[in-house]
Amino acid sequence: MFAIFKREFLSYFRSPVGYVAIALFSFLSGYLFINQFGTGMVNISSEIISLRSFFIVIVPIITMGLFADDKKRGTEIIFYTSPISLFDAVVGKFLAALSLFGIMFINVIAHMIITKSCNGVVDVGTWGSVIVFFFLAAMFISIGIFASAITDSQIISAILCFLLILITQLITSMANFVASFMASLLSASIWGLDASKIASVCDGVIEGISWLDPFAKTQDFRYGVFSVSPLIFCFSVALIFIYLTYRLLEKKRWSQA
Amino acid sequence: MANSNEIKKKNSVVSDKRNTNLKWFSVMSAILLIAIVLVINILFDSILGDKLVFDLSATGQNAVSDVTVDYINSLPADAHIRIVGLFDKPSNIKDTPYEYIIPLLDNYAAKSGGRISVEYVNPQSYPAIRTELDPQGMFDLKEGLFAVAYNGRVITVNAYDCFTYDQSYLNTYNYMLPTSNIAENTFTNTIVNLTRGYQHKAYFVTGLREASHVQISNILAAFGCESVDLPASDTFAVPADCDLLIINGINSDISERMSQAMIDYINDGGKILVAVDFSGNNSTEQYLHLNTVLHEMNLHVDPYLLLENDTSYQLSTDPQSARVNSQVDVFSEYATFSTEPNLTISYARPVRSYDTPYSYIMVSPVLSTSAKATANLVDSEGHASQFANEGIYYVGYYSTFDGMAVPPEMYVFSSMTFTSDDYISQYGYNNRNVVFIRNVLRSLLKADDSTIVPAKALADYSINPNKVTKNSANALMVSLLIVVPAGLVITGVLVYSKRKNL
Repeated sequence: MFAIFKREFLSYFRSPVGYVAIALFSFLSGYLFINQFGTGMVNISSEIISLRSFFIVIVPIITMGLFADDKKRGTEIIFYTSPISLFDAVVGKFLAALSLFGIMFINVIAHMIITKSCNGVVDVGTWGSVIVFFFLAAMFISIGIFASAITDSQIISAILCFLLILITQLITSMANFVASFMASLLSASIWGLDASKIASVCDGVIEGISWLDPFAKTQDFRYGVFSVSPLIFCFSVALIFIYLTYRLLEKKRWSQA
Repeated sequence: MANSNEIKKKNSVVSDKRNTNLKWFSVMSAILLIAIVLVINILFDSILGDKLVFDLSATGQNAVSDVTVDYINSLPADAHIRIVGLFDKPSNIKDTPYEYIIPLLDNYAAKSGGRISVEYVNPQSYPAIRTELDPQGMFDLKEGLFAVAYNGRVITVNAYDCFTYDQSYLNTYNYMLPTSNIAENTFTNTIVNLTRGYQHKAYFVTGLREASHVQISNILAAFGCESVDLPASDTFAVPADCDLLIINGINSDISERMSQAMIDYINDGGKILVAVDFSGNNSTEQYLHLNTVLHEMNLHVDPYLLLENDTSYQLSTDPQSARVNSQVDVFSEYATFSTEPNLTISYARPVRSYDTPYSYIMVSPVLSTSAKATANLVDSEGHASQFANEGIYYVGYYSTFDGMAVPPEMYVFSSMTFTSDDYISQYGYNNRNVVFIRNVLRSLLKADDSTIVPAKALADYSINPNKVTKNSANALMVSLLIVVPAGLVITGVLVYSKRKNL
């Protein structure tokens, strides 16, 4: 696993991808920091929370080539013929992408140092945001790896990853939309449900769909409120997508297609 | 024979099903993993999710305090309080008032043992929520408010009521600058008053150019005391259900009729809190009729401005305001009311015992100046001239009757730094003056079972203004937005050009 990790991690710096991703992250985080610095109030957790919105751009850049590139060049055969397990290969690539996020995060650490040197506050909420940032990053990277394993085109992989992350960002809005659609459907239906029952059905729908929203689940960390279940949720989703990626690659061993 | 064997062999050819088996294994294992993970998450969320939440923030902004938890736990297990935000739950609460409310409400629900539910329903997309909460249509459930409902009763809470604001900043710049977070205080008071009902009623005398009393009403609500206005009129009478009459910052004197009604109220064992000061709005006011009421309790407020000449008591170095903004000592009998031995006053009048000769009237001073204070006359142009010698003056007095089953009680304060919205908003509910007046009110209402939730300080993310110069901001901007990203991109291009042919 370490060999794969090392190979993938270094490959980010043997191509422009790693530099461009870090430059993009550096610019975005710097912009957010400068905006706050100019007002004389710097809340690093605000910056980190805002940076989560840019996963949709940064994660596809990092993950689009992880498997798609190997497939395109035919080097994926190494994973099937070398003595390492396929699961280790997936995890190794996953950790390499996550480590790149760690490198990117040095920018935010620098902002923390600047803030502290200006007698600003880096409080427990900031560290809560850091924890959430990496758990969410892990979750989205696993989604990106899955998207990359589906196709041999980096572009299609990036678009797929973008769409999947977009869906997670719109879950709460979609929940409201689905609930209002259901409310109109039920109120017009022949079942003659009264308003309170329709409301409870809609509440259930909203609650059920919103339960899947990782951003809503983790938003309290930035205030210093730590909760275990959102972290387990992020870890679980990452695990599922890593396993799905593994199964997808494993398919080649037995697929007749 | 050979032919028949070949036919048998052909019929018994076993097709290779490993592909199908592995396909099914792959699909089923993925489904199984998703199902297991889903079940674990749901179970964890519902069983341990609320228990494994830790508010590690310095001021516990988003966690309800023990006072609230204890009160909620004292409610019957089947009690159900619905807190409904009458709007769509905002997806981004950063830098909005909801930043301090929504996580806190989540914590209410988490720690209530199922007695409190929190939901967000926009009446525009679901209009039936109004009739659901309020079938009789008795309450004004406007969109954007929080409705707290219990047993058919509803109290609304505005997000902006969850903070105290710097009143002088608001008056000067028309901008609401929050000074402290009272979200828990507001919601817990609401829950207490919904579940317990109001146990007391306080009447504020109004219509005499008086100060507003929003904050003191909030404090009273924590004692289960409803605040009602009692306008000055020719038919003025103190209602029979009045537990406390409050004359707060009136700038015009009461009428003779009102004075008589208040004397009657005193003789029936009424409780009165009087707060006046010496400001530009009332500097010529003698309060003759108010003093008639005070005389009934052997007290008197003088029409002079108190000036503090002891520099150790002065609160400001500005010579203009140093003598009018000062500290006062709390008398030892009232030390339990105060967290500090000194409180602050501003533009105060002297209050003293009068010469009513009845021995059953028991008066005692509550707050006093240093021995170097003076009482001053102020002319129409605002010039002060010393009226009395240096000495100790009083700015707070208490009076009651001895030997009565239900004795009247009166507190008189001659500074508005205890009850004014301006002061309480600016300094918050944990300020020593506010804590003091809260204990005075508790004593007058005999409200020993009150539920007092302290205000919480807001997080301050300001950085040293001396370091945020234009030059430093520009230098940071250039380095963070141009130098670092451009350097990385250039490195990327160089790496690409060097390795493209490898």
